[in-house]
Amino acid sequence: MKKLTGIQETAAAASLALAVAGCSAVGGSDGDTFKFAVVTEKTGAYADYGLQLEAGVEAAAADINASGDYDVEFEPVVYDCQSDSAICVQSAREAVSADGMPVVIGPIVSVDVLPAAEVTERADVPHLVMAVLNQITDDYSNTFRFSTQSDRSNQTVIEYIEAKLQPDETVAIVNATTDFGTSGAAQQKEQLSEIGVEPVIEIAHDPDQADYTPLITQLKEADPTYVLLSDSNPADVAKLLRQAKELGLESQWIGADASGSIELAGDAAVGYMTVSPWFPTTANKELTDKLIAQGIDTPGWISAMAYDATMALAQVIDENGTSSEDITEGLESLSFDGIARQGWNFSSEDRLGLTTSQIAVWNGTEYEIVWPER
Amino acid sequence: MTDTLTRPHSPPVPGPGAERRASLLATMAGAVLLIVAAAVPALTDFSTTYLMAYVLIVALLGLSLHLLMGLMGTFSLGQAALFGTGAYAAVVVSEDVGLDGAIGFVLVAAIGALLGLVMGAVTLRVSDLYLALTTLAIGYILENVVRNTDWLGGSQGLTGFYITFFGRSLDDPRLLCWIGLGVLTLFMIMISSMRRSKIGRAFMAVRESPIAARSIGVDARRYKLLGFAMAGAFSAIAGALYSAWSLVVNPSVFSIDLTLSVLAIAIVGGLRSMPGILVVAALLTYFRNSAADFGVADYVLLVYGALIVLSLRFLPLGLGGLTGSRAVARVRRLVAHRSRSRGGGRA
Repeated sequence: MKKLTGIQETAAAASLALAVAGCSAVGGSDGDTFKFAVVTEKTGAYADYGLQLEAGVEAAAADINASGDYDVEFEPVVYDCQSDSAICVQSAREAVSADGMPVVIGPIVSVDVLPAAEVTERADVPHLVMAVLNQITDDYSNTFRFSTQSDRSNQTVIEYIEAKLQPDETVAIVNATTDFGTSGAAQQKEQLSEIGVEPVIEIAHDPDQADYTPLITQLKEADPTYVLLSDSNPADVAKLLRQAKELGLESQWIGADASGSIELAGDAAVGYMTVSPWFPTTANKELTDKLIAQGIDTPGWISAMAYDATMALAQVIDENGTSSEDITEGLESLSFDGIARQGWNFSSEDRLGLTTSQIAVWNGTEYEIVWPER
Repeated sequence: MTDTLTRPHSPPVPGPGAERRASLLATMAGAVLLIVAAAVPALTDFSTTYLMAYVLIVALLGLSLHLLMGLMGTFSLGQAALFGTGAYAAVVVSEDVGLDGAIGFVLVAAIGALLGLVMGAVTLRVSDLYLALTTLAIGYILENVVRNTDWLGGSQGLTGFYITFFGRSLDDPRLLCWIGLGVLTLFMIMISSMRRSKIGRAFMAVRESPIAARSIGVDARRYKLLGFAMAGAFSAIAGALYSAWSLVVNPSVFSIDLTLSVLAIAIVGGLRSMPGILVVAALLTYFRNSAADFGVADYVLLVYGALIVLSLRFLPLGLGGLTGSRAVARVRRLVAHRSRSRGGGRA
């Protein structure tokens, strides 16, 4: 017999390969247990964020089940999408189609949550998100944000600047050339112009650079009083703070909460101001301890928001039912005070989440809230 | 099949009757396998079918590397540039121009071929590392251009689009799978036919020695451009299918990560082996997607790296190289001998 030609061998290989790929998972929810999907970046580049999200959900589910106040047992089903947007899409599909999950929480990073939201919207499944990008709630009618939208957090920074900036003081804007960084910088510039402040310098940097000396040198020449930083990469934030300290830049940095950046920056983070919907301060010790019990060393806003989101979901389930339609209906009329933050109010027209953020300064051992002033 | 100029373990040449029967049998077997493959999406759930569609997209990219590196010996790292261009082009053609995918994908292929031609033309005078870096640089340039183009969604990319094929939405993963399977089959047939033609022999002559090829009248430049254009066309269609698969297109489609993961698949599968690349594309894509289920999500890159190192050390021709091994050749000779014996008895 003549041996198979290349194309025939290839066809055989393709069939084998497709057969190998044809394995599926089974899941869903039943009467006694309410299963819901948590699609998150447990591993990979954004694991610091994804693990925070998972910890928040797990802590809330533990509290819900321990309370005995609900008819069903809460069981989060976690899908690790490995910080890969293609896998996040696939995980979201698996959750809503193969496993029939009635609601999805996460993932956290905008580049991952956007495609996941495309999946859930097309499947008519409600989607609880913590990501701050405006587009997530602007473009998708099934998303409910449990955090502060980016422009609202930036507005909090601008309000602080407006209150503190003296006539001879100036502001600079530094941002990463990512979706988060670019959109954040654009918002800040627009909001600054509304209060009559023109940035003395604007610098965009590509992510993951080894050396930010040229950027710091430019800042030193401009000598701004405040540097508004739009960068969500913890390593980059830490590098900027360290090199600013080494090179003697005395400006006050104000940036978003990049999980892990404080630890990475070490002493250089002392005095760094962070804008965030929640901080693990002494006043929040109870929730902080619950989140630490889930295995994260330093709880951040993502875990706290995820906690509130899951508690809110429990209230919705309790009042409306467990189907996707019931949950959507419940979320669209939700009025809920969480442990992390109060005033979670949604409607079908307003799914943006909190209206304000807070600013805290890192003093070397803990955060101190400096804005809004109390 | 491991594709080299010489076949040290070629089986004995069968007679004309046996060859006809074998050819007919093999063609029928190929057709049956194709039908089975096409039936699989109809028998599995949506999530699994989507995964299969992704396997087909990755396989298309892997085969474009097989054409460029395996057949032509051109070390290109520009696959992501071609893929990303196809991904964006598909959305623009669908949403802004309003073309159905049946026509739009042809246009996308043409755009990919054009970019491939440009890539080939730019790299005509360079080779080896410089060629790889130049093609890589084209990807960086395109990523940066897209990232800073508001019309293409900037750094956030494009969302909310619907790509159709003959009026049916590619949201249906079965349709996506069937189109991917069709395009992959077409690409495989083209490569296989070409390999036995003057073009294929010219590709391989250029791969083995460009100077010797030129000395016997092979226009290496023309064939290099042809190879880049073909790889560009099919990589762009892979990108177009990816747009329909992922529902979102952003500048990350131009990233080096994609090129490197496909390169890993091609190396482990065998740069000169289509079956090897297809099998490894399926296995590694499934592994990557299910790494969390296996509890090894933190070690995906380690596994990829180890596979590349082990492959280069023990299987320099990749998994596909096994089909040319002495053991396999011995089995083939045995099967051929028995087949001839049975054929002779009946005659």
